[in-house]
Amino acid sequence: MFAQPADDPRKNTLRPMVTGTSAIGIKYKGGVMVATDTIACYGNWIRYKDVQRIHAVSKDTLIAMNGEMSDYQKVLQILEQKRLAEYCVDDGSTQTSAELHSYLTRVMYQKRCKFDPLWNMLLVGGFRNGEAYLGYTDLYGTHFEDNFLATGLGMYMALPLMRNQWTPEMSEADARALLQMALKICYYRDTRASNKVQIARVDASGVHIDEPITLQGEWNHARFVEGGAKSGDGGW
Amino acid sequence: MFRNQYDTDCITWSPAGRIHQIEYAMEAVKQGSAAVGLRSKTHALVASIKKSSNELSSYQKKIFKIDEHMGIAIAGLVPDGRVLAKYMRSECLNYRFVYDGPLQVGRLVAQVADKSQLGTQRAGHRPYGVGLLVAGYDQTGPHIFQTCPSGNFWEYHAFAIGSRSQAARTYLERRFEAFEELPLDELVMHALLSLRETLAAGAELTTSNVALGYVTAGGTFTVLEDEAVQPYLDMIGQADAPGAPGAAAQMEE
Repeated sequence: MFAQPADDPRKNTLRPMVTGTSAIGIKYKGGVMVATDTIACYGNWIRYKDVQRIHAVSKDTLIAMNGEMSDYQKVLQILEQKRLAEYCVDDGSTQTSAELHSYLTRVMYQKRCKFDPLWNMLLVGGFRNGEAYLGYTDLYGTHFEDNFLATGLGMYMALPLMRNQWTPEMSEADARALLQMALKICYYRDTRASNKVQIARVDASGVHIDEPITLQGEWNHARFVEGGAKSGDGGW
Repeated sequence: MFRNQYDTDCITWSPAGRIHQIEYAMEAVKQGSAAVGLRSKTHALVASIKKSSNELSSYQKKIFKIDEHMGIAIAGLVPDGRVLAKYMRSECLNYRFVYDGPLQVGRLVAQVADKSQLGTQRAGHRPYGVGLLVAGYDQTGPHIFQTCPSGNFWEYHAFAIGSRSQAARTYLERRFEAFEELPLDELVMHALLSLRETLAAGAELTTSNVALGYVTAGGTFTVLEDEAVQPYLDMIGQADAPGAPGAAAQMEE
């Protein structure tokens, strides 16, 4: 009775299934740094515990993802095709991070116009000729640049912290500390976030994606330990 | 004039291994009024002689701005040149829409060459009868490229195409090594002086028969025509005077 019309257009991701949560990025003096955690959830289940969500897409550009994992893999394939095509031209020039960001936005917007979006929010980070680049694009084709960015729940958890603490003169170590703090807050407040995180940066020497590290949570606050015993209602 | 049985189309080889139609198309470039292109470390520049068909007509446009960072000078069939200019503009615009940046000059020139090549290999087509000098500034600095009806293209420090362009090439060959360090106005003077070499006896450079176009880092491709070239014509006029800096260069020959 409610059978799908046979000529209904094929649609892929209309609901994300396996997802990665927040990606966070900031510019600092001499580079740009992005971070994600390393899990992919199937619903609320932490299905995959060792997933890389940041990748280099050119010699001086990386992207960090949030959203549907399979769509992100498609994005990586598309960008790899672009990179290979450019490698074959072999004319000594490579597309800038801004150009790749713009291209990615066009792809995202075209797919959403077919009602078949790539269900991701992406950060594009790059560094060239002493200039750091940090851009955002998402499944609707929205795009903008900023000095610090976050996707998904990180927009609510991490952005306000960065607004308070970010300065253009931050060193690499400052940037790393700020990102770790933001990641930790996300870990505390976002059910689908993990404390196993990966930080990557682009600076004058190119793209560096660090090995994942584990952040230590602080769980021995008195109210946590005592739990509901004190108030008598089982809550905090 | 040159007729032989192998020259009626592009898809028939002559036994000598030549495709005469392509060579005739390249001849059309040689018949067109001259264009020169040269570059320094900071600028790429093209200049051209414009013709008018009679005293009452306007002068034929020879320099076309393609994009903010690129322009061309043409020699040969101007309508073919306009078609290629339109193609190049549309490619640049498209690139800006997708990538929000300037298209690499060499990549566009290769595309134009590929497009030209198609006309040399298909029945019912003819090669373009126009050569382009492309001046542009991109990620890899200033560039001068030449395209050819055959589908060939080359990059140069300095080059000249069109009628009597050998004289301009001779001028440029003797001086191009010094161009690298020159400021824009001296580069313009060399463009005009080399262009002057291509003029028929008795003809002169005037504000109406010369056009220039140049571009620099992050700059807009700028076309100089009519009154805007007068200061430079005055400068080469002074360079002819004995003792002037340009005059010394002349005497070295």
